[in-house]
Amino acid sequence: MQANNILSAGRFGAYLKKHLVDNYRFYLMSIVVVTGLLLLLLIFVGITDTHFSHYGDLVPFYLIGLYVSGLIFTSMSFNELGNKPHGIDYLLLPASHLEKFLTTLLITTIGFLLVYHLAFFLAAKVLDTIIGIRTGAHMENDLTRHFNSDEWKWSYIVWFIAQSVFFLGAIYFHKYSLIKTAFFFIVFVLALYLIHAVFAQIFFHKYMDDWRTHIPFVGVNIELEQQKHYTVMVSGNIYHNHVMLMLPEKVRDVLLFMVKYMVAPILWTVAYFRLRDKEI
Amino acid sequence: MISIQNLSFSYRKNKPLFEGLNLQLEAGQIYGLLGKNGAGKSSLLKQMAGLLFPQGGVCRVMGYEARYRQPDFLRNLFMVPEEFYLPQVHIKNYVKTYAPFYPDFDNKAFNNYLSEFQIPLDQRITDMSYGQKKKVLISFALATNTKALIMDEPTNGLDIPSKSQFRKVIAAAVSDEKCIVISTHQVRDLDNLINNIVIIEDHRIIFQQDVAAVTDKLCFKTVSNLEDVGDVLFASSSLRGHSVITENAGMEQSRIDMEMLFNAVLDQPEKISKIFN
Repeated sequence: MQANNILSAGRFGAYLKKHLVDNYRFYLMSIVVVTGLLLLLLIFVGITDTHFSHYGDLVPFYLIGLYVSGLIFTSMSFNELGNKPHGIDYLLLPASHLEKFLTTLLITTIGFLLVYHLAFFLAAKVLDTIIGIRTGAHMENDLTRHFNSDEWKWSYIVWFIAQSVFFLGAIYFHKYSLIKTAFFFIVFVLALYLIHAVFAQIFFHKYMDDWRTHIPFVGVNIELEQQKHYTVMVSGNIYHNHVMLMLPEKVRDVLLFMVKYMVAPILWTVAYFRLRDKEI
Repeated sequence: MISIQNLSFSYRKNKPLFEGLNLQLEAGQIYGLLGKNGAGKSSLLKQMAGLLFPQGGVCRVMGYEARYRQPDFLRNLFMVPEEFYLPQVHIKNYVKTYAPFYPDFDNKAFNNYLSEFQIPLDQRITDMSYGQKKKVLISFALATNTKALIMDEPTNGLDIPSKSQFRKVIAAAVSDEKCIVISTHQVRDLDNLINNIVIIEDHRIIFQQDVAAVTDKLCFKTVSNLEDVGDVLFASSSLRGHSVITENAGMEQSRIDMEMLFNAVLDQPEKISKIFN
């Protein structure tokens, strides 16, 4: 296979341009809708309930918007494959699968994040102006406090993982992708939990108070024999004679690393191979 | 140009569409792919374009295995599907965004084809009728100058004048380097256009001959009484008399009637096969 049959900068640029020309109306409308909805939401909450005095007060709404609009947008990624004529046009256009895949991935990640932040910034600025007119005071910028927190970092990590799940779902399900992906994701998580519960029961049945006292891939809560009155401390968790048996710290670190940096790329890779094997 | 070897494919288990299908198509020819509804004409075209993958055997186009849909392969193949998609843009924007992917795209030829079809260049694709959109796609397909051009029911949705315009532009576009495959039910639309006939039936190719070989070996004529002709391979009656196909023992010159030929091949496959082998 020749190298330029996989990725060529010129062709990738031409494909990106073609994609934007074909979809610019939809993207422009989406920007207007997201900005408008964010603004309406902030104004509605601001008037009815919360008094926004700091930009940090907007963070929950920022995150809700990020997840909801991002995942809806991602789940529409491969809509063309759900329509035969459009799918034929998409698959037969002389660009490689990787170029088509990267275009969609870039637009649903970097492209979306740029646009969303711009939309939220605009909505927040308009809200601040309204508050300024009504109260004579503007919102204080305390966002540095949030930016430096671990929760902030995790909210992005989880967003990328969720994005990759819905991206993969979009390539598997071309109709009602959002609902179907959410459904199968819930089924998958429940199945994982139940399988873990079965194994926890097999290994620790007589030590477990309840079949639910375990966390998949993290640990199992067990009760030591009553007559041995001692306090046990494992990994910093003291439960009288209850012990949270956890994975060794090194293994946990490896798992954490995989969750943080490998789940999304793995799901994107699976999505790429699914696209390559797509038939219409 | 297009080589299909031992192709097997089915949409459902135990219901094969193709079984051990073999087909060789050469450049410089216009092939007419004929078959009954559900015979697999569209699926065979999709195999050639890499939209469906063989479950057995291999489908190669210009040396490329179609299923991998490599850009080098795709820029030398254009497919006009029966149901097609055109983005909601002006024709000029369509050309601007799609043509860069086809290195041999001829803008002047595209304008000529559009003018032949009487489509104004400044019209928005969304404002066009189905037939007009199809003409834009056919014009673009021809202007790409791809070595392989496959068309699924290209005359569906075209009005009567457009069908003759279609024949005219296809005839003008053919060259020694191009292989054009046209699948159709409406064989009369392709009269005088195709020079090679491929008939698909019962999961395989049951007939493949060029038009010259057909008229060499078979005679097509209309008679008043069936008794006037000897061994009739196939006959169809109408108000004008009886259209018949006979073996061309006397080397008579006749004009091929593809509809008659198609029916004869399906009706008398063994006799026809014996004549050509």
